[in-house]
Amino acid sequence: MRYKKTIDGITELESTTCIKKINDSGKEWIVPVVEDNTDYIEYLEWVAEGNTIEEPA
Amino acid sequence: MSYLGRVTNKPSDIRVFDVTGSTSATHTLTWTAPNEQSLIVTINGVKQHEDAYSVSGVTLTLTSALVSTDKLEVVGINDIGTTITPAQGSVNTDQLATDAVSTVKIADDSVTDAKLANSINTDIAANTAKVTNATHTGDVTGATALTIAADAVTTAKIVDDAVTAAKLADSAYLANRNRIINGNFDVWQRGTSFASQTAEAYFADRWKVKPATGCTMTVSRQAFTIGQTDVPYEPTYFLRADITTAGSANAEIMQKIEDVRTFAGQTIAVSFWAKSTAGTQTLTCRTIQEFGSGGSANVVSGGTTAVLTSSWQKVTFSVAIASISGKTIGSGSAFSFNFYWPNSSTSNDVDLAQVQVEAGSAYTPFEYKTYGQELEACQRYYTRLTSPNPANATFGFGTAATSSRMTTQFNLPTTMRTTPTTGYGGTLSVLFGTFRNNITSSPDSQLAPQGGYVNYDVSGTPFTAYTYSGLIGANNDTSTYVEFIAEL
Repeated sequence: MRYKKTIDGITELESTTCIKKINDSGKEWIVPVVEDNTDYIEYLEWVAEGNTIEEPA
Repeated sequence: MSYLGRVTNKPSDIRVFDVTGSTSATHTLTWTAPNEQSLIVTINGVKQHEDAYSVSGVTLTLTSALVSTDKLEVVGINDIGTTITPAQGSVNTDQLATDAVSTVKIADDSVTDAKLANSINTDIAANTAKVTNATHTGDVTGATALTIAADAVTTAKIVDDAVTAAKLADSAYLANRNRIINGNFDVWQRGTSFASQTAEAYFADRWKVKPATGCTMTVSRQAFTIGQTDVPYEPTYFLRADITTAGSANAEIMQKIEDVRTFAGQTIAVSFWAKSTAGTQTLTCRTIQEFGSGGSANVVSGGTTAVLTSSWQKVTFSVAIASISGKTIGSGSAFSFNFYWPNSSTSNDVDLAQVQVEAGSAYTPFEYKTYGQELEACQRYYTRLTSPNPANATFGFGTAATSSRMTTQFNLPTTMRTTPTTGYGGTLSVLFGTFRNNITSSPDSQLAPQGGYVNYDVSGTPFTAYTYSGLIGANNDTSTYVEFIAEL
């Protein structure tokens, strides 16, 4: 599993409200930056383990 | 004198008065004679006619005085017509006629149990004294001895609509008893068979599989044979968890129930149907109180193990859940109910049906819900928009944000637990006019629990103006979906 920052589809600036989650098969999900979203909690745990989110393409 | 009608018989006594050597015509009796007729007067043995004397009170007056040799004898009835009061304590049973003592002659509260026959006291003690009596219409009170036998009050003895909610035990809620969602394994939005699972993943709605390291599992929906009677209420489906590659620890099937406050400090009753696909298989249940991100450490309870055979059996047990007093609750807290079994064997797999977890120490019959009710409950945590038939169904409406980006609105069928993660699969496309361009990626979203928009990039640059609008949907692909995830 890896994570990537996203570009806001309207402002075309780096999004502060969501990130992208990508599994080993390349499938993608848009994860909201919301504290009780389980995917976001897992992302925070992933970061706490020393991992770094990728910059947007 | 004579009496008209009946007179009261009253007691009297006979008196005798003798006089000798008197020469007087007047004599004083030793009693009060009421009249001449009450006296028999003889002189020298010759009875005197009542004309020969008169009486007044105690004074008897002869018409002629006696000579000294005369012997006067007066026999009389004392106090004719007066009431004689029996002396205290002088009336015996013999003086009372049979059935002569009526109820009104007995003082209130004066008959003690000592005056009742022993057999009556025995009947009262056994609550059988009135078995042949008419229906009792008053309150059954009694300080201690008068009781109602256990299980003696039948339904017919309770008035219709008389049992109020306050008379039901807290554990007797008739609706929403089962806190497990999709315990009947009816809802499978993600699919119906999940092979080669090596990591935690959802399969049937709300249910998650957790293979141990090195273990590979397949979980799938299985259909009951129509009309089967092994598992009651004619369920449609059951879950099969098949270990295809053995691992080193336990395989788990779990469901996380929202909020760690669930069942805290209570006893829960667990019931489910289960069998092994072959031979015997142990199956253990445990609960985990998860306090969420930033919360207290997990608390594990339970550990009850059942031995499954190849025949369906209903497993029931109760577990005391710890209080959460003094704990810290973080984001995404949950009460997790887990099945686990050794995954060292690949031959004895587990089938599960009708899983129920409810408050209280006694389990109740499985709580059936309609598919619509169960689906709505599941959609709080996961919603998948699909196009099984037709293969070109649309899910949302969008307007162009750029020449190749469509901002698409989704109104979710149920408000979700939290702002959802979103993704898509299959051949998702934008339909605009007579054109259809496939989606290539999704850069971002602005969603709330009830819905919002998702941006989709399409192939090419078909939108030459912001006035373009379109519909997001499947492009002739029944596997196409858009999903929204707010699982625990």
